Amino acid sequence: MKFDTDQYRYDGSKKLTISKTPTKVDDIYDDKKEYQDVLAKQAAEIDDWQDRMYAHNHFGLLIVFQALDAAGKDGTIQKVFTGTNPVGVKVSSFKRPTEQELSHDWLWRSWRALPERGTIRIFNRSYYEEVLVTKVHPEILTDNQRLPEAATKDLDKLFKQRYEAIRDMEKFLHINGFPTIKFFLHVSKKEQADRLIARIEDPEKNWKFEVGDIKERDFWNDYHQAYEDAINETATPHAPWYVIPADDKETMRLLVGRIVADEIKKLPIKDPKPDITRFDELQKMIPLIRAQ
Amino acid sequence: MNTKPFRYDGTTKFSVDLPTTTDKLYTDDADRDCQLAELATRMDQAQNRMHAEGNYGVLVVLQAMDAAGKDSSIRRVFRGVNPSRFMIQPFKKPEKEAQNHDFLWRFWRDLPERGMIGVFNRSYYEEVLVLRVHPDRLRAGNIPDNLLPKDDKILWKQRFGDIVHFEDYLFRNGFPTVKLYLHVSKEEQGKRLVARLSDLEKQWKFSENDLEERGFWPDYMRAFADTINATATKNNPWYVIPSDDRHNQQIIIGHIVADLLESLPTEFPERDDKEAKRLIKEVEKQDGKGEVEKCTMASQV
Repeated sequence: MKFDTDQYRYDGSKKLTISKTPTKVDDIYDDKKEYQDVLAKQAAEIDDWQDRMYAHNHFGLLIVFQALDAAGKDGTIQKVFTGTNPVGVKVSSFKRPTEQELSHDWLWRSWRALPERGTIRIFNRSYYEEVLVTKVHPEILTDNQRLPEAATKDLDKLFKQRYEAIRDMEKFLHINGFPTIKFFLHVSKKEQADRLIARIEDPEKNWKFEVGDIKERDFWNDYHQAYEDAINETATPHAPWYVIPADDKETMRLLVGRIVADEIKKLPIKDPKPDITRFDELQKMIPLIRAQ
Repeated sequence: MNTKPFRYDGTTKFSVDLPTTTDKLYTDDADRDCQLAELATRMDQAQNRMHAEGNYGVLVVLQAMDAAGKDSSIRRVFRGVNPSRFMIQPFKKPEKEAQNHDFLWRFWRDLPERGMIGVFNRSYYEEVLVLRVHPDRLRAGNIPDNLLPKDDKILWKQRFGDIVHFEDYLFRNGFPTVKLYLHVSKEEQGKRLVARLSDLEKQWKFSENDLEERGFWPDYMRAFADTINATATKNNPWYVIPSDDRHNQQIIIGHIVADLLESLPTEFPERDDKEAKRLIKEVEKQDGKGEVEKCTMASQV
């Protein structure tokens, strides 16, 4: 099955207007079986390319997932990357920063978790929270982050500087062999309400629910504005954003899987060249092994 | 499946003469894949509960001679487990930074969090295996001479004690350890090394060092037997996996880990029904619920 993922891509060549961007599109699969088949095929594709990336050992891939609560970050990560060699994929979930993390600059904890060459690292939430939740609740900057007072006087300037710092970091990573792909899972407010209620009702999911999630819903428009700004400020060809319609979980996962597979394939990965001289040399060892 | 015959918890002695083969546990490749998929689902479900509760974490340690199937087992057995709750850590020769610390330091750093499964591909057991075979490396290290027992017997006894205490401590804190020794015959290892050498695409996996260590086979076997017998406990058992058949090996490992996860007394956190009703009302009051959203995008297919 082929579907066009370009329309979801933001690399700086077009502006995102979040209110005009759909949270729902026509299903891209006919039935459950087709969905599962396509998902499995994509997983095998990602697995195969991660393997080659590992053998080549030059590139590493950073994949960022951002979304409002209950948009499906956890489930998408699970479904898209189950099937990839667990040695090659690691997931870092960023929660509220710890005391130790707050004692550093705001990018510190992310640097520590960046991917190694040959591997994929997934950030479930990321340094983007520093221009999202902190933009909606700027008191975090003064109360928790202990920034120099002068830095928090002009918030516009502060966020401009943060976008720049993110752009610089992603460019630096790109130059060093670590491209970044960023997903914003775009869910409607109504669908979010349905999912939150389902969470509360389901005894196996109830633990996931936090009362704070309800409160944050009141800031819905502020969050959307913050996302729109962040995406427009940080979308570049080497670190593009993808805004994925998230009201249908299956469609969302297929789109994410397709995009990840396509993005890895774009990397100039070379299969290791067999070393014929060494190979001939090694053949002499075979009788030695047999004799041992 | 009964995995007891493979289990060593201190009540029976392990001897390296134990067979490296066992009855075939699958009919064909498709059957093996199907069994592994079922096991992955069991692991995933049990882990989901463990993660939701957030009290237990599990450490799986893999030890073996080269080419016994550590990497392929990890890949095959754990591919179906949610990657967000799974950490695999390979350990190579310690770097300078690690040498500047005590021998358990670098392993502490990579222990799983509660709710997670951590897999160590090689581990602190190398400290009583490879160093046992090459004690000169330990003696040439940074541990002050006056603290290092002159008598090898005492030295290894101390290290076994350190490891047993370490794992006991973890267990009491909610982190059981399960240790897997992949038991392969020297003949089968020879075949696999030859296969690596004869395959242009696999040759990069081969290192001369593998051959060198193969020369110490009896020493390694003795080190494994002593280690397993000295560190197998009821709470943190060893399993000896017959590994000449990779598929059997993977199925047995899957059962051991799935059984362990299911045996932990974990529960989904209880829900407060009254509070749940109140919260649902609160969500419903917020705008958004009930709004009809229009699709604005054309068909994709």
